Amino acid sequence: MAPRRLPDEDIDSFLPLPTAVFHVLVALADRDRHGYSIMQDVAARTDGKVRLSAGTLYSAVRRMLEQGLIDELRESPDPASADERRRYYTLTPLGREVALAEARRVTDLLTQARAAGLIPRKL
Amino acid sequence: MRAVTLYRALLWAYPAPFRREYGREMAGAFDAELADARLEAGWRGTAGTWARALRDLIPTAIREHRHVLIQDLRHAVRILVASPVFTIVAIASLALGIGANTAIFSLLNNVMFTRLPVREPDALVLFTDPEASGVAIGSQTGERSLLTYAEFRELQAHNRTLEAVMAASSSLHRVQARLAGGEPEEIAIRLVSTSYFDTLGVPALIGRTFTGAREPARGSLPMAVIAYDVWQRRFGGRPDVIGKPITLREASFQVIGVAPPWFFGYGRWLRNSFLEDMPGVFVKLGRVRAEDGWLRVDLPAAAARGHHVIGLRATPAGMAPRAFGEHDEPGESEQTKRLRALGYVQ
Repeated sequence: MAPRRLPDEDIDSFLPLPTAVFHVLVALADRDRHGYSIMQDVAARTDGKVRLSAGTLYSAVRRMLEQGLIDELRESPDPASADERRRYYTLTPLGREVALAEARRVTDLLTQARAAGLIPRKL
Repeated sequence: MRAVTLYRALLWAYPAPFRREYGREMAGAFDAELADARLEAGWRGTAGTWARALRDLIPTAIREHRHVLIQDLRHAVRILVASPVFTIVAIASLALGIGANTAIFSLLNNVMFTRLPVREPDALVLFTDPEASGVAIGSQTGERSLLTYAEFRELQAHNRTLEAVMAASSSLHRVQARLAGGEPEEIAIRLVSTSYFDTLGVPALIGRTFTGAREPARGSLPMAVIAYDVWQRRFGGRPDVIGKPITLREASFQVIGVAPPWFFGYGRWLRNSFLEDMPGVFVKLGRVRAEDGWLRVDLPAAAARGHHVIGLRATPAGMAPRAFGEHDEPGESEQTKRLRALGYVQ
């Protein structure tokens, strides 16, 4: 059975997302990752401009698990390289919707700024 | 010490549940990050990783502590709401406990801990027995627990070692008083020497105290200082109370000042008892003669009544005590001997 989709107003209650939370959601969008892998992905995607410390990452992970935005995998997705110290996280359908809503919100802001001539058409 | 060991020690800044859940992973991630940074940028990478970790430690630790606190509070509220009887019993027990403890502390605080609210309580010297009150009975020789007014005047006149000396009646006088033209009421008065307020270092809230006040001209009313409570209750806290007449029994007095609200008199302090009444009116000893109405308010016996005498210690260096008992008979009183032994008289 497909998971029930939350009404838009419930999704909106998560917005705006803290930067760290949005980066974690984006990092988990293409595949499941462990904590350090998330840190590496964020640093790589932002050319090192955003570097999550372990404290910031796991504080965000704790909050996202409670909100149901991500879930913890019971088994490693890659048994060959499984390190039992590492826990893997996956994006939930709710997390995906919230990330999408946040991306739309940021896109809308960008569109409005462009329409107002605040930033060039091609940035 | 290995870097990861130090980092694990820093993780104690986080609340225990968070540390138990994520501490191991955080240490692992930090260790891996540090190793990669060292490979990439050497000591600069190591320093950058440590700086980032330390910068994030305090805000994230505070956030996690706040989260745990909120969780605990929510849990407590849920339990209390689910068990109303338990909640009522718990709140009632707490209220009773807090109330009882507050009452006991108030009692102890008043009886044992409160210092005399004066300028230099530690510099005060008591010449008389704090437990004694009433009349100085018997002869002027032998050991007595209180001093007469004449003895106080003698001590004051020849004092060289004390900065100031004051006397006050050892017991309160309860008299019928008419204040602010209202109905007569019973009020406690304390007879005090001119130096009473100055020795204690207590200024008047408004008006003045006895020291510095001019002696009343012949025919004018004798002076009184009223307590703050009386000023508020009977005069509505109005500043024009100064100069108003009040009647104690059948004698009239003129209000010259109001004592500050924090001053509860020396009686409570002396007897370690919060049950000691606060006088409503302070009346000056000594100047009031029979024709001024003292007889009618039972004050002329002031000279014969027992007084507590309190001195304010001064630095003794360079001061030569002079005779207090030089006019005494050969068989001087025990009181004088005690004063002499203490160095207050020669």
